[in-house]
Amino acid sequence: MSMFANAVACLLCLIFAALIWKIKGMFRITLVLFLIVLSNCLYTAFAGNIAFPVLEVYPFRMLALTLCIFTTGLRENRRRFMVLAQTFWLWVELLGCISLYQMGEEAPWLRLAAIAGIAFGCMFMARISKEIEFGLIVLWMAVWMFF
Amino acid sequence: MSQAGVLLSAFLLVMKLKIHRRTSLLLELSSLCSFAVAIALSLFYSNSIKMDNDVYNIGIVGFISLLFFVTHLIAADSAEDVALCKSLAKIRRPLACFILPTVFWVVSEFALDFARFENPMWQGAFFPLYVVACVFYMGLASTIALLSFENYYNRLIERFILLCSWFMSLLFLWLILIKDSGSIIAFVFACVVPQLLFFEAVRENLWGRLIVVLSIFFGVLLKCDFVVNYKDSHLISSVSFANASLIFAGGVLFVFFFFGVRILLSRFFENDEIVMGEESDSSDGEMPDPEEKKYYSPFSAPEFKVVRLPVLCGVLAAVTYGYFTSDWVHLAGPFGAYVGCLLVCLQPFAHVWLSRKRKGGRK
Repeated sequence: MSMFANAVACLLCLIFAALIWKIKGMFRITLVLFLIVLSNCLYTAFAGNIAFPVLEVYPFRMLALTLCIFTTGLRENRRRFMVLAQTFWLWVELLGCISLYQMGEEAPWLRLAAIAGIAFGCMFMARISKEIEFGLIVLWMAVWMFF
Repeated sequence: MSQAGVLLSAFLLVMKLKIHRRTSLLLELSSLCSFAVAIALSLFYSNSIKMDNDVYNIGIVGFISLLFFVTHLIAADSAEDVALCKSLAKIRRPLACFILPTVFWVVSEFALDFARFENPMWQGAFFPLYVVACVFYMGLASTIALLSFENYYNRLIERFILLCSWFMSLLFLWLILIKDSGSIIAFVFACVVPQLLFFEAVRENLWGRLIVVLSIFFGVLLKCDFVVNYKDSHLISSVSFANASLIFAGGVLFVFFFFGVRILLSRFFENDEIVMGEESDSSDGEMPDPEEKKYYSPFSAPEFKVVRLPVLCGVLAAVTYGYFTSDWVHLAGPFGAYVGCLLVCLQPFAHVWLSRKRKGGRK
């Protein structure tokens, strides 16, 4: 996927996260998450070549990034859900890396290490201030765009 | 399927979702009975089973599931030592935190290996994710079936399965899109039929719920058949007496094990007290619990002893195993989890033993 399409995907994740922040109730949030995954799948199918193995999990990577950004807006259990969202992202990326490695293609190990590092750091955060929230969002976006 | 029950039970515990103890015990027992059926069937087909990493991984998950179940049983038994029960109840969440990633990893690794060695068509990053989602979905469906046998039902799980069916339908369709093939019949059974739960008449009726659950099981079975044979409705077209009787025998064996243990341990099950998920939800960093305000020196905090020390030992064990065997992908993770779980489970017994020794010394 091109750099521009990747940047648009990142922007979409931000918009989706902002959308979920405004919704309350388990049923509604799940419905919106379903629509988000559907949009992610359609975006991936139109913006990239889905025959390329890297893009198989692209919609779910987008979902993981959306969830990570979403957790910064939580009032309760923020650290726990932040770590869980990053673990989900890590798991999706790890499977992608191993799968690509087994297929003999180049795997983005650096991205994996970066996500693992941020998730590990989040585990030890006692208080998450507004500045740290912003810093985390920037870090995740940087990982998405540059690694 | 054998890992579905314990996966769901651990997931609900980690997410602090309220659930009856009976439900979680049934889920864990269903996993163990499925393991027992798998072992019994593998004894008949021992010649065609290779003792490779996948078998060891499943063995480790089986052992950890057994620890999880036994801990839950003893913690629920008020006739036992109260201090021991309390200590065991405290280690359930750390155990769930070990089990959840281990099961995720073992299932993912199994799917990766299957795609790599058995059917390269499924090779890719999405297939393991899809298999884990199917296992989770099966866990939810089996919960409804097991609760129906107990003559009660859980509205939260019904709603949950309905919501999950939407995501599963997306996963099914995405797989069809990226691989250019897929089982439409499986999609109808596993994802379309569960939408009947929207109707109150189906939701509130025992037979309605059972039909939806059976449809999900059948849909996933058809999908498994498609994944292995790469042919739509192969299972139906090539059905033989031997295959049908094998499935029937597996089912009968499961029912025999499940209800045998269920009747044997009925006093543990028939206590509807909620014990899972009842902890305060305000245990996050920004709203500390009253206990967290108490000062502990770095290596004596309860959280360090119960969670972080076993995790650290587990990671060290995994790294040591990986270093000496050069097997970082297959067994290192589950081996670390195995060591960590053992350490977590030994703590309450050591704690009780030490406290008794101290009391004896004072006398």
